[in-house]
Amino acid sequence: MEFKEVVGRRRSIRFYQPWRPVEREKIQTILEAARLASRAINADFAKAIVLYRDQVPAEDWDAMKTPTTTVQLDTAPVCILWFGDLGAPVRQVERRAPTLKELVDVGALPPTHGWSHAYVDNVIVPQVLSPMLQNQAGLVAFVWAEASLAICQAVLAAVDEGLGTQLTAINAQAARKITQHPDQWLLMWGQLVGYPAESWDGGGQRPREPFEEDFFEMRYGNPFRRDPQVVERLKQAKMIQEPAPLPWRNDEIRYLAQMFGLPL
Amino acid sequence: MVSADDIAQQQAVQTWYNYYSQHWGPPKDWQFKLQALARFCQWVGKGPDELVADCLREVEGGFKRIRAKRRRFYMAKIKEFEEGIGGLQGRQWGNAVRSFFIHNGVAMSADILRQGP
Repeated sequence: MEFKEVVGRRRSIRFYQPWRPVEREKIQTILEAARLASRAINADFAKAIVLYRDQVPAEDWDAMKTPTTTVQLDTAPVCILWFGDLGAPVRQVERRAPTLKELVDVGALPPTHGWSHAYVDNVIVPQVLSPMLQNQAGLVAFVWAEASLAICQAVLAAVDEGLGTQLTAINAQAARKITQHPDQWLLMWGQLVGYPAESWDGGGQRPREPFEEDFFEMRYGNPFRRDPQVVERLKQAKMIQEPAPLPWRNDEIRYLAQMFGLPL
Repeated sequence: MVSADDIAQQQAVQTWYNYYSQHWGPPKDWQFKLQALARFCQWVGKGPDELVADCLREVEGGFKRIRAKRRRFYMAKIKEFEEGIGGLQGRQWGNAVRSFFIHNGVAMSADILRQGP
């Protein structure tokens, strides 16, 4: 699938085919995509534990539900738990940033931009990274932002594999009981993965606020003017799609409710 | 015995009808839904307005806040109610009660039906 179409097809899918497993190679592809995401200091902020619904005791799986994570957890065959590893920057400081030095060695951080091993040792580690570790709130924000980049790529990779997917809240205590993950791993999202039971387009592309409310040029208050020709080109490339709700969406939900025995 | 007529004019039932109708159109099975809710109310010993008030409390600013434990309590009671009736019929009765709560702002769903071999 072309990238623009992947972006356009992405939906938060909330009805999955519970009877259909996800091929292991597709899950690996999702993880591989996450691993290649941009990440500060080239550190491994994002960690994941893949759970298979039919291999987790039903009551433990059920305990992961929250008020906004309900039916989708019942129907999804796979839940990838994504974590932000608060230990990732700590390890970098303790080991004097080997990943940064590696980037210097492979030409990603070249001397043209001022980089050297000495710069990493004398400036980056003591004056940039170490102070960050003293500010817990800042550390969490930093790790969360960096791990999120990997998670976004995982979401798009799932779409590219022809799967439905959703990032959803997971009860942290229940996740800890199942996975026994390290204390410094901060649970971020459960990425549900499976074959959609609803139509892949989820009844249409979800609404967004006007483009010019979010994006500006040169200064705040000067909107980035949206070119209609670009919009048309992106429609042709399937990045911009028919907006929700499509005319049949409510009927689809009725049928899904009947199939799964759900309230309306 | 609590009847459908007894509860039909309660505020929470009116809210249910209005929000359901806004979303799905007027319910064709409204009498069934009322009967299901009336039977549940009889069974738990509380009227519709009481059920909603039990799950939501007023906080500063005029907003309402969910009482998480009461929500879980009623989710379990609905499941028990449904199992007492049994089968698909029980699910239909349970879902009618769930619909009442949902459209009064108390989010809940049902475990999906699994049709085994």
